[in-house]
Amino acid sequence: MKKRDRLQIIYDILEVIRDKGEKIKPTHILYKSNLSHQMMQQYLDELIGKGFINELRHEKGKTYSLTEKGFNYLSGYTQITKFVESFGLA
Amino acid sequence: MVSLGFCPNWFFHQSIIFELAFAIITLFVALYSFKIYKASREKSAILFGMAFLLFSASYFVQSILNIGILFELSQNVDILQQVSQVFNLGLNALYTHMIFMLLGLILITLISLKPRNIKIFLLLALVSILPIYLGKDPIYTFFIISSTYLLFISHHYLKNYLEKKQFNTLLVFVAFLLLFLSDVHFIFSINHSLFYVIGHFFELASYVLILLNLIMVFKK
Repeated sequence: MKKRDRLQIIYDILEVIRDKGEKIKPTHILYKSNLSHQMMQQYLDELIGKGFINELRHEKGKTYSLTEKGFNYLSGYTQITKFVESFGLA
Repeated sequence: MVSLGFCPNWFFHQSIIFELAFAIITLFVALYSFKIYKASREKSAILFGMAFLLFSASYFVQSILNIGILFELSQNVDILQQVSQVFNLGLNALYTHMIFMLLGLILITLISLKPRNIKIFLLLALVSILPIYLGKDPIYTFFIISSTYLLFISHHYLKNYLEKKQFNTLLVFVAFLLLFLSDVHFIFSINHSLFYVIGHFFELASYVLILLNLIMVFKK
């Protein structure tokens, strides 16, 4: 998968989580991000690893929320993509 | 001095200013790369930042030690002692500059390779740095090796431009192509000192283009 697509997917996932507030379920992310369950889980694991989102475990399942780093990614997304694309960091 | 032997005397002072400018521009690129890494956690951004930090260090070493040489030459000491000090200072500066520059180029080359790992980096570093220490002509060897890396990197940026067809990607491709051309000019400067001056102007144009791209990226 190309970097542009990957960065765009990360942006879309973070945007969905931000727009839904503190308690978004994986099924909702799956629906909005238009990914397979396996791919979505890989992205969520990556985003947790990078510190962009938090995973909260409840009795009814898991929910996700955005961290400060996640908010920073969303606000700097244009600059990040321009930088990564122009300097061939894909 | 780093450029001892093929920098024309009339250009020596200007070359220090050029190298300081390159050091500052590459330092800016490194700092912005780290900023991008902090926001995105993209590993390639930190590799790119480290590469430009090494470029910056190589130019700082080159310019500061050339200033030191100018200072040494202006002192009234025994001529043999002076020549010996200048030679030692120049040799240390030369090797430090070449090693930092090569490590930076290897890191950028690594960005275009997949998978990227430390073993490939170490292998490239060894096969690039050893010939400089073991070969008969370290400067010539350095320019041949760095030109090869820059040709490879330019090809990577050409592919990047053809894929994305954006003005920014074109700027970066031309910038690295100019860096490659400047290195080729430096090879010829061993016999013709004017090529050393032309090489510096190519290098300046290259870093100005990289800076221009950076400004465009961060412009709101």
